[in-house]
Amino acid sequence: MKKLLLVTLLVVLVAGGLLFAAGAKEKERVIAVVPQQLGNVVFLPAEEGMKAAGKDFGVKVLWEAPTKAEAQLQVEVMEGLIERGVSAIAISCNHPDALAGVINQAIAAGIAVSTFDADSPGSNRQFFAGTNNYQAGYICGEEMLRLYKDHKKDRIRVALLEGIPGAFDIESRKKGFKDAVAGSNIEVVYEGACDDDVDKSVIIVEDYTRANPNIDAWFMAGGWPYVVQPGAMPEYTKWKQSDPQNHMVVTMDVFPSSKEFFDMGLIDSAVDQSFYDMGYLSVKNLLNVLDGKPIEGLEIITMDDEGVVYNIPSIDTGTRIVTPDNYKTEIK
Amino acid sequence: MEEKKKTGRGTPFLAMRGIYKDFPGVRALDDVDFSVKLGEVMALVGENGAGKSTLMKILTGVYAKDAGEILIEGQDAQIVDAASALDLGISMIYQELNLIPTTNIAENIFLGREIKRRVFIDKKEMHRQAKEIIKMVGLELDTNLLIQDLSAVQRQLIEISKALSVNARLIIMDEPTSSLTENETELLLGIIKELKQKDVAIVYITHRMREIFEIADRVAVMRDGKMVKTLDARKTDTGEVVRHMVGRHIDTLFVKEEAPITDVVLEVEGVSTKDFLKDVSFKVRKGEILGFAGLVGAGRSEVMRAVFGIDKKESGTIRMHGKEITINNTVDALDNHIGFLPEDRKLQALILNMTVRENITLASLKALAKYNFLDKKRERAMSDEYIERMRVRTPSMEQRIKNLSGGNQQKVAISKWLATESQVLILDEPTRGIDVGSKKEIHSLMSELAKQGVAIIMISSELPEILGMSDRIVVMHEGRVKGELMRQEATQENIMQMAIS
Amino acid sequence: MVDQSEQGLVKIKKAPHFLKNWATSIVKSQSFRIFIVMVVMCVVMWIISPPFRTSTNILSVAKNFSTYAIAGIGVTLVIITGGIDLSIGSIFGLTGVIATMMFAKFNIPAFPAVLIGLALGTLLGLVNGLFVVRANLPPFIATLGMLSIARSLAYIITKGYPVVGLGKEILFLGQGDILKIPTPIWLMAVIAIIFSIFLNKTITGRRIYALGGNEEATKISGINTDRLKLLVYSIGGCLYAFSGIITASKLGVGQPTAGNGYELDAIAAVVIGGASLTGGAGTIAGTVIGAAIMGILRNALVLLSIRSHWQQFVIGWVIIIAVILDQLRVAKN
Repeated sequence: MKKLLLVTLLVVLVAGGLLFAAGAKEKERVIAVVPQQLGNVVFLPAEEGMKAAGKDFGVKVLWEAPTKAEAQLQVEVMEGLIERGVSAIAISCNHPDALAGVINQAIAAGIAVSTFDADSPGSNRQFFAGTNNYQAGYICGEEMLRLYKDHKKDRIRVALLEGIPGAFDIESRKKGFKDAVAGSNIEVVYEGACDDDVDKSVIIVEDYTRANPNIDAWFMAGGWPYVVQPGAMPEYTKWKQSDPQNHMVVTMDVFPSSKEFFDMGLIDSAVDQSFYDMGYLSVKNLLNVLDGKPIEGLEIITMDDEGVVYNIPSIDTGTRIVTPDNYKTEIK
Repeated sequence: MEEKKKTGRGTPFLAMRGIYKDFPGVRALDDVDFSVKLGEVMALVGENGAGKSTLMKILTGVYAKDAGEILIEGQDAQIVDAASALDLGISMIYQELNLIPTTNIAENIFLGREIKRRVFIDKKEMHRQAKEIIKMVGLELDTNLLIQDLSAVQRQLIEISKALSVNARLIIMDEPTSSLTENETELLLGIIKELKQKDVAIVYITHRMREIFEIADRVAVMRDGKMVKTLDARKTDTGEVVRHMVGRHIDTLFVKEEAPITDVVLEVEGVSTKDFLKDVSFKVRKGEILGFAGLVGAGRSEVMRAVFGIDKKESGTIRMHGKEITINNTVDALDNHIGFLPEDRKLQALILNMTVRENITLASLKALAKYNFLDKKRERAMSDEYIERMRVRTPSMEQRIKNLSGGNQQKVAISKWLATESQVLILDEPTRGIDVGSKKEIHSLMSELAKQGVAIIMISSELPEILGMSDRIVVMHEGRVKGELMRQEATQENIMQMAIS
Repeated sequence: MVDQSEQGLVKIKKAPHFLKNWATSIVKSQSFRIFIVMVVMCVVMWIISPPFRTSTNILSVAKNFSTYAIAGIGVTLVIITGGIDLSIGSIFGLTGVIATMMFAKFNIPAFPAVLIGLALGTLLGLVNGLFVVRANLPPFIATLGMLSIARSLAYIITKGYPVVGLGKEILFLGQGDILKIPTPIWLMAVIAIIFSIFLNKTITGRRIYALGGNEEATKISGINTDRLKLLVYSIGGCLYAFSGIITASKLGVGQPTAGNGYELDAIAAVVIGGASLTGGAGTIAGTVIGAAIMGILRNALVLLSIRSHWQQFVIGWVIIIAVILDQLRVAKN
């Protein structure tokens, strides 16, 4: 009897909650921002930018994402937002093609949609705010070239750290990097994947560096190792500090925890995308769209993706390059 | 057309002659003759283990006979598998019905032989035919109904109609009324009478005398693998049937030695469980062996499981040495010095992957430990003691118990309980499936325990064992205690009478 | 009456037998089999890869698989009883952030902060156990639920942000060393020894094996199987927490995403170590060796510059082969 009561109570509570959530369509205007994944440090500045914009422009904002960086899960989050009747959505797509369908579905339902960080060129989104991942990777390659400009070695061997093999954004960065260094004496000799896991990224960097102390450089296609403390990477520290002029490190992403690494001279160049701006400007310009105002800072960029030409309405949020010279002012 | 009218006076439809069947260590069927005519109801009776189901399994193609012949309508028949039996017109309705609960009537009737139109299943036609088929047994139901929503008798009838729809000439029914109410039983018996009219031959396996005398034409009695006698139902009575069921020569049986029987140790009063046990009461004394007799399913194991705390009881009190005790789980039972050896030793009494030593000591771990640490020396000593005392044949105590023979496994299982120094020991079929030598050893051990003052409750389906070992006998029938007999007054016949009626 | 000197002689005569029995039982055991596999792997790596041989590499490999081993030990007990625990990674992550938050944000000293994390892990494990025992949920479903619940709590509490600012008191767990050997290795060794003794020498350990071997028979033998189940799930929760806290300390940061998918690695270690998923068999030594094998494998893939795609491929095959070999051994017996 007691069990029956408990179960009934539970069912009523859950059902009530669901009904409430389902039925409650948004009354006022809500702008939702959907990063690729919850709990990924990289996107946190975007959340801050979103909140700041919400405050500055007096609009309700919402941060929603799947728990895993998977396209299908993100599609489900989008469908939930469409159900809730939000006014606008800014999304960083886990995959450009997989999200196109649901983006167009949202647009058909009268929601204004834009993308940031990772675009879906095949969809009908209003605009893309961010830096192209390919471009960001390319800039990393250029940084690597810059760092080795005066070096006379025949061959500069680079170890590369990636996340989940085949992940679209990282693959774009890798391609950008490799294209930038093509034809030079810089060559990628190893690619290790950490499956988006910080612990595994540290293990890979440590183990590889320990086994190959003569590797010339590291390119981190994603900043996973810099979430930890330098004390967790003794081999890497030893390697870098043993020959600071010849052992170079270029990485994507800048975090508050990167500061300690810069303090110890463990990073030579960090290419950061301004996620804060992505969040802020996405919200601002989606609001403009809703109010019938023009989008600010819009440029049409032509992109050739294996024969298919896209015209991308972009808001360039730029990259900033953080080096040992400027990090103190750049990292708060 | 005219061929159908066989009024039962010509050649029998089925004639089984000189059937033998052996299993490792036991002759299950010994020169059995069995015949059935069309339009006749032949009751097949006998104790559990008499050979009834083995005989039927040969008839339905589940087992192969070792010797003998089977004639269908005078022609030699080769029944090699279930399909060939069906082709010959032999169908069996099992106790656990062969219906799939989550499908509907039509689907079940046509399972495996769905009516097809080209590639697709013709549902309309299937339902139409199904409706006609179940009319044959007097059912007017929507054939879209799911099996699980039907009553027991309806399912029974659908099984029968399914058999009829594949032109069964002989239908075997195994305890068909065991889960039916009075009214449903009447309904079923009525349908069987109708089947008789339609010249269907029926083999009716049951323990219920009343039903036998209501619809059977003849009664075939089996005992210990032999066909003892075939009686004319109209000219016999329960007494004679029972006499043939149990009338065996009681030979070299172990008889319990005298032991001083003193105070009541365990008293059970008014135990009832949901849906089955009703008001079961009994007591057992120090030094006494209380035998529990009855048919399989009479409720003996259920009573003991309730007393021991494995199953929940709805009502009833249990008293040890006069004081009332609560037993809600097995830990309570053990704390009160009660031990229980279940009937399925492999599934319920032994941990097959563990060693002899680990099994013997399983229920006594607390006694062998200091601050939760097991004293391995004392454990080994305990193992040695019981291996010797019970004469367990094993290369060592470290042998995995699954490698031992059935008899030795049982000895280990009993040792486990002896080691707990129980005051009341409940043994459920302690010598089932065990060789004669080990049987005798276990019986002698039981005697010895009684002499030491242990109160023993022994559930057994072997009447000779009950008669030989019990001081007193409780007979159960369909969840109730039917009666009690003292050793002196008990006979196989009067026990069986109480167990059956 | 046997006099003392004769008894002494008898004892000495028995000794070689005793040693022989002891040696035979070790050799026959499942753990020995995979121990040989591990030794072979080490020898191969030793030969083909010079960097493998350095003491820093070996210590690093050991340090890294220690946390997998600790979590694996936790779930070994559960698996021996015939259960399973899918919430390992989520409890690992949540307790990691709670312990680090206590230290970094609430300024609770290291030791109590760790204890709070362990207590939380034990509590979550107990909840798992209650789902199984009281609500009668199959362990797969119960712990699957906890997987989501604990993970979402980690996100909610941290709002997605990592926990930083860990001082050296708490960093000692993951980054420190005693006598030149990293702390996690010591912790793994201590836990392995404690639980090995627990399983082999106490009656509770014996009952756990019995429960996994045949639950019905164990219950009928007067053993409180419900309590045993609550115990193993709680111990499991505590050990997953310990593993998570050590890892957070090792990295110097508490992450809400930590431990995602850890359960697969932990269970793989247990299975490679010879435990049967149907219950009744498994050893601590086996689990530790299983974790070591997986750690050496990961290390080998990096040292040999093999692409990480292959890592999953190889680990998958290792698990399957280990289980097949184990089934063959059982069938042969």
